[in-house]
Amino acid sequence: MYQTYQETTQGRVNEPPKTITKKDLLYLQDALSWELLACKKANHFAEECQDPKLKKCLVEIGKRHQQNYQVLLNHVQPQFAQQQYNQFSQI
Amino acid sequence: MNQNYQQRYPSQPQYQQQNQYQQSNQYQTNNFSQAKSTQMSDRDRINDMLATEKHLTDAYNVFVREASHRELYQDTLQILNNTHQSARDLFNEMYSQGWYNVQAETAQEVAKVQQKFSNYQTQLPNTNSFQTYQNQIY
Repeated sequence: MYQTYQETTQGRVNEPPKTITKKDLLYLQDALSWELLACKKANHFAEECQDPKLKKCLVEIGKRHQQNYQVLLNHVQPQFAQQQYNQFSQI
Repeated sequence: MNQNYQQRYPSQPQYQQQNQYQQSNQYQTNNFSQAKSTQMSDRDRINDMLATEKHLTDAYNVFVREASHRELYQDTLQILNNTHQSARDLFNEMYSQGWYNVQAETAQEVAKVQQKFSNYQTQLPNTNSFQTYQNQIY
């Protein structure tokens, strides 16, 4: 899949550069708060659940939300954004 | 076709009847104990979590569609997938508790639809390639 994209030193051909756009940042903020809430909720419910099977299921789901949170957070990096922003504006 | 269906779901009707019985039983006991309490039950908790996952899949679908660069698109698509998986896990869990009821459609009704859309195949523009595909699966 990666081979189908052409990359040059200036940036990518036929697709957006690896930059966080204003819209991306707004979505990332939203998604991070969704994941935070979902993770808290799953954990809270897991603690309250009587049935051990349901408890286990909720714990797993809580973990999954936490992973998602970390993935999203990796996309919000100021130093990287600055670098990309400079490159982007030079083109 | 019919044989295939029978093979895949051999004891579907029996199983379902049994399940319905268990279900109504469980539902009643659940309902009864809940009648006195305003507390959330396990069922309420799982239901709430499922509602959350459902909402998240909708929300992430928009995010994925509007993501800018490739890496962000791929990561959010993966998250969308994970969220669908969570919703599915919850659904399966609820089903195994007997909180969901599914009813099998009769073979006759399935056959009607199959007949109808088999006939519509003549309208498909890529007839040759479709016939090849059809030969492969049957």
